[in-house]
Amino acid sequence: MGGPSDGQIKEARVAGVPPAGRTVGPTFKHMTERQVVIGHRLGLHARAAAKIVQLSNRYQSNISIFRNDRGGDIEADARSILSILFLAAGHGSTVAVRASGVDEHEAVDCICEYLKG
Amino acid sequence: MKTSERIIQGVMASAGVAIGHAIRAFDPLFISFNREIGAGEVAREVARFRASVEKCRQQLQRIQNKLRRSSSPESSFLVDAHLLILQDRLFVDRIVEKIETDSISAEWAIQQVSDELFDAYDRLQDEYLRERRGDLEDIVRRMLHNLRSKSTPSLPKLPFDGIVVGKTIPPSTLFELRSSHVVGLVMETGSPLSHTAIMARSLEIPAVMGVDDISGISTGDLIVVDGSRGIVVCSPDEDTIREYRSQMKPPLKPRRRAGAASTPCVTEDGARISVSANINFSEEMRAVVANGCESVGLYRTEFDFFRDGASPDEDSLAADYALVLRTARNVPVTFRTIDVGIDQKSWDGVNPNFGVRGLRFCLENQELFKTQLRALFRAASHGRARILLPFVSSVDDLDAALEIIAAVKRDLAQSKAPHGRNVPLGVMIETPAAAQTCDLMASRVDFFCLGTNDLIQYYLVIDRSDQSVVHLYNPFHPAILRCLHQVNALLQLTGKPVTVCGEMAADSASVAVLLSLGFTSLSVSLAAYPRMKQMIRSFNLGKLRGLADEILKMQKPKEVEDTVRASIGMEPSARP
Repeated sequence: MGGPSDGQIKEARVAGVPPAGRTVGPTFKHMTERQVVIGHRLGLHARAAAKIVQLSNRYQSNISIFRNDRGGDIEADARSILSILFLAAGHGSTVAVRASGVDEHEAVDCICEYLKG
Repeated sequence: MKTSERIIQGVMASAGVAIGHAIRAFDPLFISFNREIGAGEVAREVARFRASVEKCRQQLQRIQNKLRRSSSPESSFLVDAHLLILQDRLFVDRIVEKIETDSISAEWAIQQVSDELFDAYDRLQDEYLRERRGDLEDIVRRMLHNLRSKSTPSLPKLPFDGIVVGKTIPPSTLFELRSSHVVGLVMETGSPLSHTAIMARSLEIPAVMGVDDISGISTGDLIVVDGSRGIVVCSPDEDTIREYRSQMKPPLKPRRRAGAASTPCVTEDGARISVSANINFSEEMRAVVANGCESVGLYRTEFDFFRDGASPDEDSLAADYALVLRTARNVPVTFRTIDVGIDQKSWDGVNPNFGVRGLRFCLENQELFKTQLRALFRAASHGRARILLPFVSSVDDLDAALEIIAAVKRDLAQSKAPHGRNVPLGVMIETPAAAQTCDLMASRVDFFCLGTNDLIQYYLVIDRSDQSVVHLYNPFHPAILRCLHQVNALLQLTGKPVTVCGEMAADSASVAVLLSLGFTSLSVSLAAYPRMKQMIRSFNLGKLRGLADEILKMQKPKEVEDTVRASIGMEPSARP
C-alpha cells in the first residue's frame, strides 16, 4: 500500500460514496498538506475515527484525509465518521492530511499528531 | 416435477405451520412506508426526517449520560460513534438529497442511503471495520422507530400471506404486524425462550428462530415455516405444500374453545388444578375473557409500557390498566411490574440477564417504578388487580420495593385519589437466590409466582439467547427438580400460594413433573390454554404424586422425562 501520489491530489474518489456520487472537494489556492503514517494498532477504527471527527470539529478549515489505493486516491472528509471508516486506513499505512482555511496549519498539525498514535 | 426444494434448519420457537411469501426485513418498517410523495410534501418530509434525527440525538445523549455515570463509562465512546453518524454528511445530507430529488418518503430514503453504506461496509477488507455496520444498523432502526409516530398510518394489510424473515424482529414489531396478514416468522437470532418467541406464541404465529443463514431467502419467495419441527422449507414442491396444508387444521371457533376452556380443570381422579393465562398485551384481555380463563397469572407489562418507545405518563397508564381490569370483569389480573433488560442484548456487550433487570432496574429508576405503581393502584379500584415483582434476588431488594409501594399508597391516600386498597402483592421466584430464600420473603407478601424460564437459565448457567448452549436447557435436569421440590416444600410451610408460570407449565411432560412435585396452580400462554386444560383433565394426580420420590432420585434428565412421559401415556422423548 503506497502513499498518495506525489504532488497535489487532483482527483480522488470519496470513500463510501457509490460511483455516481463521486466528487472531490474544491481545490483551494491556499492549503496545507502533510503525509503521516498511521500509528494506531487497529488503524482508523471506530474510536479513532470518532476522535478525528471530534478534533476536526474544533477547526474552521475544511479537512480531508487521502489514502492511495491501487493507483487512485480515496478521500475522506475528516468530519464524516463514515467516510473515515470507509477509508480503511490500517496500521502502518500512509495517508495525507489536507486542510484549507484560516486555521489550516493548526488543523493539520493536530490531526497528524493524533494519527501518529 | 421436483423443484429445488431446500430445507433450512433452525429451532422451534412457536408451533404450527405457515405457508406464505417471504418478506425480507432488516426491519419490517421498511416495507411499510416506501412510498413516493408529492413535490409539495418534500419540505414537510425533510422536516419530519430532521425531527427524527434530532429525536435520535436526544435519546442517544441520554443513553450516553447514563453510560458515563455507570460502572463502565469507557463504553460511552460507542455512543460517540452513533452520535457522529447522526451528523455525518454521507448519511444525513444524502438522505435529505434523496427525499428532495426523488420525492420519496424519509423511510425509503433512509433505506436507500443506508443500503449503499452497508454495501460500502461489506466491501471493506478489514473484518473489524466490517463489523461496525452494526452502528449504522442501530441508528437506522432507531430512526425508523422514531419516524413511526402515532399519526403515521399503520402497516397496511398485505395482499398475501406474509412470512417475515429477518435477523432480529423485536417483539413489539411482531405485535404490530399481527393484523397485517403476517402468518409466520423466521429469525436468524433468538431461541424458543426469547421474548419474540413468547410473543409469536401468544399471537399464535408459527416461528422458527436461530436459523443459520437466511441470505438465500428473497422477498416474494414461497416458503413454509414448520414451527413444530423448527425448519423452513424454501421453494417447496407441490407435494410438500399439499402435505403441509393437510396438517393445517382450521382454528377452533372461539365459542367452542370457551366451552372447553371455561369449565374448571379437574384431573381424572378429581383434583382441582388452577390454570391461568399469561398475556403480554392489554389487547389480549378480550381473548382471555372469550376463552373463559379463570385468571391472568402473568401480565408482562413492559411491552405495553414501552410500546411507544418512551415511558408513558401516569394518567394514560392508569386508564390502560383500568380498561384491562374492566374488560377482565371478575377475572383477577396479575400485573408483573416492568422487567426490562431481558432479550435486549445491550450494545456494549453486557449480558443484561446478569445485570440491572427486573426489580433492580425499578429500584434504580424509582420515578418510573412509582409511575407504574401509582397507575396500578389507581386502576385497582376497577377490578381484581394483583401486583407481582419480577427478578427479586434478596430480602433487601424486596424491602426496598415494599417501602416504595408503601410510600405510593400513602401519597394516594393523602391525595384522596380513588385507588384499590387491598391489592395482593407477590414475588416472582426466578433467581436461585429467591428460590433458596422464598420462605424468608413469605411473611412480607401474599403470593408467589415461579418463573421457570429464568430459573432454569440461571440454575443451569445457560444464556437462553446463546445458540451454542440452548440445547442444554432442560427442565428435567435433577438440579431443577430438586430446586422445584425445595421451593414447594418451603412455601407449603408458609401457607402462601404459588403459581408456576414459565414454559414448563405449557409442556405436557413438564406439567406432569410439576404436579408430581406438588404444584397445583399453573399459568400458560393464551395459545396453549385450552390444550393444557384439556390435557390435565386426563392426568391422574394420585399416580403422578406417587412418582415424586422416584424422579427426585434420578440422575439424568432423560430418565426423568421418559418416566413421566410413560406415566401420562406418551412415547419416550426424541431428545438424547
